[in-house]
Amino acid sequence: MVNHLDAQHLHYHIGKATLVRDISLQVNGGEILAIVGPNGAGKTTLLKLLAGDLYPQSGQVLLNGQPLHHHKPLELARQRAVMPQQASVSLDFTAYEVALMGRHPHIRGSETREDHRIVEEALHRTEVLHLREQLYATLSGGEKARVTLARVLAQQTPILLLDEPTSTLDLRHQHMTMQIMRERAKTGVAVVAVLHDLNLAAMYADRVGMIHSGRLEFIGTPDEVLTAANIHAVFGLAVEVLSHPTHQCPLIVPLATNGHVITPPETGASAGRKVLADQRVTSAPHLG
Amino acid sequence: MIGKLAVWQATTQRYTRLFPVRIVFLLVLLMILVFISLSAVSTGAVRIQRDVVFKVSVDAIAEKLHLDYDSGLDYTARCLPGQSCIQRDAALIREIRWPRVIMAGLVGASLAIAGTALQGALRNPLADPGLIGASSGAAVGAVTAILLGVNIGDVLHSDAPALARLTQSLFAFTAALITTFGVFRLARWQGRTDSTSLLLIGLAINTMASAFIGLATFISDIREVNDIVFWTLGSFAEIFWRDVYVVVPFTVLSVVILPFLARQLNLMTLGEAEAQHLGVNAERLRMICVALAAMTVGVSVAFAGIIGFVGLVVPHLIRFFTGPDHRIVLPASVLTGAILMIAADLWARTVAIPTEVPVGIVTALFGGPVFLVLIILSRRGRG
Repeated sequence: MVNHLDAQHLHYHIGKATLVRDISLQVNGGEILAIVGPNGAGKTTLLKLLAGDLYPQSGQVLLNGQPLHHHKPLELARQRAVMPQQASVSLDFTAYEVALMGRHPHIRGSETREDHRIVEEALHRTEVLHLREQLYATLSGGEKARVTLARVLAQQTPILLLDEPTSTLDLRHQHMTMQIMRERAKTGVAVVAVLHDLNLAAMYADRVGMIHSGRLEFIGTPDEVLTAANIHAVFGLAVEVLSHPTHQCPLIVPLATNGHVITPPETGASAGRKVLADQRVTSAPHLG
Repeated sequence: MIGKLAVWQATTQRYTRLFPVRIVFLLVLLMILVFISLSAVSTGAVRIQRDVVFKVSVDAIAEKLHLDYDSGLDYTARCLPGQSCIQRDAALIREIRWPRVIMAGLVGASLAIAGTALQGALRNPLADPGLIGASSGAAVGAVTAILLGVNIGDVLHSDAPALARLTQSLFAFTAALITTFGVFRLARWQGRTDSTSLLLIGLAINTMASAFIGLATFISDIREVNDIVFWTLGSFAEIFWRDVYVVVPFTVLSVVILPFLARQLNLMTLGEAEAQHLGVNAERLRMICVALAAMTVGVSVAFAGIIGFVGLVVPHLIRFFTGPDHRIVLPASVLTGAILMIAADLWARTVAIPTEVPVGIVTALFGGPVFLVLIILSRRGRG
């Protein structure tokens, strides 16, 4: 299984607003690439370009050496699964039926016992099996996200693209999600995840790409990318980077006094971007 | 662990057992359809015994298929004035009642399956064949033909009234296709079709169409107004086999193709991008559904006029009982649409004998309250 996603000089703009500028990156089977960056940096747009939802105005995305749009939709659906930021269902399907939809690219005719087994296993892994008979629309935000994750896992693709998979989850399920990604990566799956929580990225990602104003500013191991200087330059936030007490990874701690972030707007990567110096810190771990 | 496995197997079995349950559900609907068709054929200004209807129908089918079968009815019995006799009943059953009932069934089925497909493909529970402009476009076409007084009969040097009707039907069908295509084209923007703007544009076109029809009614003479009312309120009066033969292929096309798209329509409920991630060509799916809906609804309206509400209500009614899976909702809406339309037409033509109530009034009269009750009940069901 050679899974390889290769983005070459992607450029995407709507009207005069440039959302992605000249981004190139590669993801290989067996690794997790975390995409981090402030709001509006272009993370979701980049993920949509990688998924084939959007076509770049220049540059291209190669899936196993072939341009993305050379693959038929169904063929593509067997290669990569995409977890959206929010997933709504317009009719009253149950959680189980929604997860079963993930098997669509593999089903010829009617779903088999094997399909049901895979779906049930996925629902069990994301800890929502007990909700399977409930209407999806009546679930809480975090439960919906876990059912959607089960749907994405049931698709059993060698490439996973996740847009903020942990944003609606509680602490336990944030780590559950990232542990599932680690397990998948171990079996050779290539994972690209847009994350807001830098500490989650630090703990679970093999590489981190930091985006700012549509540009890929830094890419490398968490130790290389998640430095106090880089975070200050891109997020406009003063942090201290410690070493995690039990893991071999950096631990990012925001610096703040009296609830005010101490940081002046800086030049460099954050130039042209207004950073409010007295922005209130509402939740310390979420830096986005 | 064993307990957990048992739970898993129970879920799997529940879903694999769905299939036979659904087949039984469809068979029950089919039986109701046959029963109501026979009742509709036997009821009217002249009442005919149901067993006579059955025997005459079987004889007619046997004759068509050159089967060696005889029900034992005596077609040669002398007809006495003021009494029913087999010969006259048989003619009534074969040439008047059956074509009308079958046409009602076809139109009901077409409207219902078109509504179901559109609601799925456009991800909007308000979508209805009327909303994308097919119905109002058809009415505008027919009204234009009436106003201009065009008639194929003039070209053929024939003054058969059927040709005037046929001309109006042709205008209606063509206008339905043009209108739907226009709505679809206007909603397309940068290679994508936005469902919400599709419905809004349909609404705008509908408003213009009803203004046009209102204006036409205003400037027409009495005879023309009667024709226009026929188109805008719908009727199955004066339907004969030749009309049925025109409609059948369109209905069959939708009924055969759409169920193959059922699973893809299910995926569309996740959202267009999500459906695409799962291998659905959303744009193509939507195009196929809109095209099929426009054709079947266009041809239905061309022969029976605008009959509202069936396309909107039937999908909701079915989903209330079966859940939202299109694999059951599509075939069930075909049968239910046919059943309801035959029942509505039966009521429309028998409630005020010797006159007829336009069937479009009946469907709206009953469809409205049913829709309200459905909305309230399903809101309760969701807690």
